[in-house]
Formats: sequence, C-alpha cells, structure tokens
Amino acid sequence: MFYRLQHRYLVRYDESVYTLGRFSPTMSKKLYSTNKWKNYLRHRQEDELRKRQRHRVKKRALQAERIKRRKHEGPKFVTVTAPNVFSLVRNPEEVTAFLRQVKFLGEKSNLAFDLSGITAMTSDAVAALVATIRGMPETRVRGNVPNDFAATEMLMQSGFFDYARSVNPLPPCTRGRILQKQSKKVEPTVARDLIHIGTEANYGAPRHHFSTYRVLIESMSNTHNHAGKQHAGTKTWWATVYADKLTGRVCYTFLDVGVGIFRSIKIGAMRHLYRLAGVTSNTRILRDILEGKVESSTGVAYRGKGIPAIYRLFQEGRILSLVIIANDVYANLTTGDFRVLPTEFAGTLLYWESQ
Amino acid sequence: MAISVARDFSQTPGPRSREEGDFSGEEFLETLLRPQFVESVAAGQKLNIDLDGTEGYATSFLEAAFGGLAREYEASKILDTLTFKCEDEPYLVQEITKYIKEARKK
Repeated sequence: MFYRLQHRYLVRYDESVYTLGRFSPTMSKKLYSTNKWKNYLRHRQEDELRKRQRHRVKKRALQAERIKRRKHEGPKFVTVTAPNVFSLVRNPEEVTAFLRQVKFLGEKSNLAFDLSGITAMTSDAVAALVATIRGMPETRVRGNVPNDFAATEMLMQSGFFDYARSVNPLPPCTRGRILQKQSKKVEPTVARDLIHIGTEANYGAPRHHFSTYRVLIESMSNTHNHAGKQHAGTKTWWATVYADKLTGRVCYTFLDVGVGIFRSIKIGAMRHLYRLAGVTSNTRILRDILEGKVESSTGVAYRGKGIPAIYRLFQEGRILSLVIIANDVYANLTTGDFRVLPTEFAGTLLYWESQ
Repeated sequence: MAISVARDFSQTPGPRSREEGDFSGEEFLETLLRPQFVESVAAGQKLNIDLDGTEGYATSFLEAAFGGLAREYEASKILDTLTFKCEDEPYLVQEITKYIKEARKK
C-alpha cells in the first residue's frame, strides 16, 4: 500500500481497491507518520528556501546595480527657482508658494536652488528657507548666488551657506550678520545675544533694546504654549538678526515652525465660533488677537497678553515695521495691509526692526 | 528691604513658568519675591523692587511674578508694601500695578 499526493487530494492505492477523495482525519494520521510524507515536506521546504535565496540574490544584484549607476551619474538634484523679490515681508504670495514647493520637492529629491534671478532679498525669507531646509535632514541642497550684488551680500551674511553648497566661490562678508538659533524652549540668553550682535554690528558696541527683548521672549513663549499641553516644548523656533547698515536699523525675524496662531488649540475653537458668527476670514481674527479681544490659547484670563503686548510696542513706536504672517494671513501693521495668502505658511513669522 | 532683579536674580528675566525656560516669573516669585514680601509685611517695612539693569521684561514674567503674588495676597496690601525703581523702562511700574489689580479677574 502506498500514498501519493496530488495537491489537496490524496489518492490511495490498495492491492485491489482504488479510491479517490479528500483525505480524512483517520487517513491523515496514518499519512503524517510515514517517511514519504516527511520526505515530501522536507523537499517542499528545501524548494521554497532555494526559491527565496534565488530571489534575494537577484534583488541584491539589482540594488547593487542601482547604487553603481547612481554613483556613476551622481545624486539627482531638482532645480528650484526662487522668486525675484525674495522677501516674505514684501512678496508673501510668491515666497510662501516657493517654500511650499521646496518642501514638496525636497521630500523626494535633492535640491539645487537657482537664486541668480533675485533682485531684492530680506533676512526673513532666508530664515524661512533655512528652517524649511533644516526640516528635511535627508535632502542634500546646493545653490548659486544672486547676480545682484546687494542680494548676494545679504545672502553671504545670512549664514545660508552653512546649509547649502554654492556652485561659485563665495566673496567675503563685509556687512551685518544674521544669527540663526534653533530651540524648543524660551532662551533668555539667546534673546540677549541676538540683540547684542545686531546692535554691535550697527553701532560698534552692544546695546540694550528692551522692546525687542520683550518681543523675543513673548514669541518664544508662544511657540512653547501654542502647541497645546500635550505638545508643549516640542516645536522649534528660529530667530535671526540682521544689521542693515544702509538704513541704520536692526532687523529681527522670529519664526515659529510649529502650529501657527490659527492652528493653536483655543484659537482653533475660537475660529469655529467666528465662522458661526459669519466671519470667514482669519484677518479679522488676527485683528482681534492684536487688540487683545481673543482669549489666550491657554484659556486663563490673565494669560495671553503676548501678542497684544507686541502690537502695543509697535503702536507706541518702540519697534518698527512689524509684519506678522500666520498660516494664511499676512499683516503689515505699518501699511495696514491685511490679506489672505493663497498658499498657507507653515507656522508663524514675526518681522520687526529697531533703531 | 530691597530686591534688585539684575543683581539678585538674573540680567535676563525669562518666561512665565519654569517649564517654559530659565529665569521665569514663577521662579522669581517663589525664590525671592514672596519670601521677601512676607518678611517685609511681618516687619512692617516697605519692599523696594529695583527693575533696572536687566535686558528687559516679558509681560508674562511680570504677570507671573506680581500677578502671582496678588493671587495669594490682597492687592491693596501688595501695593502698600511694594515700591519700584525703574529708570530703564518707567512704564513698567504702571504695567505691574495693572497686573496686581487684575490678577484675580476671571
């Protein structure tokens, strides 16, 4: 008597009787104990192992070939062209769209920045670009410099080329400085250092600037708190200072690459109430926040004085040229220009000057 | 009795709470302002707060320190006890007085 397996069916041959059908428990018990069955299983396992090994070898060969090809061709860089007016303060629509494009393309490939067409540049846009690049540590970046001399000099001093590679040799820095600091907490000593660097570059010696100190501490604190209790202290801020010797002013940018004012928890809920009241634009909500009419994101009455306090400093002339970009809202407080941006800015940006 | 923020605490006063960062208003209240205030009240003396010599103050620091004190003690008692020296930013005195008066407002 012997057994032969054909797929799921067992064919049993007896001396005289021939039967065909699904194997039954009684039959299987008998079958599993046979050497034939054991051999069959062993052979099957060996076959599968060999098959997997062949597949693995083939996959490795393909991978090696791909790496070899990439080494031969060099890493692939996608060119991204910056807007001619590279300034969030002066050209928010194009620069926010550009930053969105950088983020989108940078997730898939390395980036080559074409900055040659830039005719005007401000430190706020450089800070935003650096923050975007730093948010993609896997992406390699490189770029050229603007053809415009003033814009090139601005870029040289910005510290941008600590993060990007220039295809041309870099001229030496001669004027001003931008310092980038990245932290998740309120750093009073960083605020002091930023002010001292800016004032020293412009006036020859470090000076106090109480109002700027206040704006910096309030902004750092907002970044820490706006993410809500669960995420407090997990969002990163950037602060830059640039001493503009031409105007005699020190320019500051504070960049919160967290949730942004309108994505913060309480403001989000407040926005829902505004929508119910028929107010659809975030510009109106920002006006109310500036005037202190909107409750703090923490929900405590005696808190939430940060942004209104910054606005008061501007109204009293203690800080100049205040611009706020938060999510989809652009507000230039000097010109009274409040508008909704077609491309949302990821976070909050504050720009101001001191004299 | 007197407290100089720059000398006794920090030249770079920070945010509202300890968890937000260093040299917070909460820390100033707990380590300096409250103990000195209690001592001054017990001794029937004035407590002079010298705000000069620092890099500046965030509103949250001032509110946490002076508003925080006013959430524990009567505002009138605090205003009677505290005196301020503030030549760098004279408007701070008015601001602090407001925080003390409005500390318990809901």
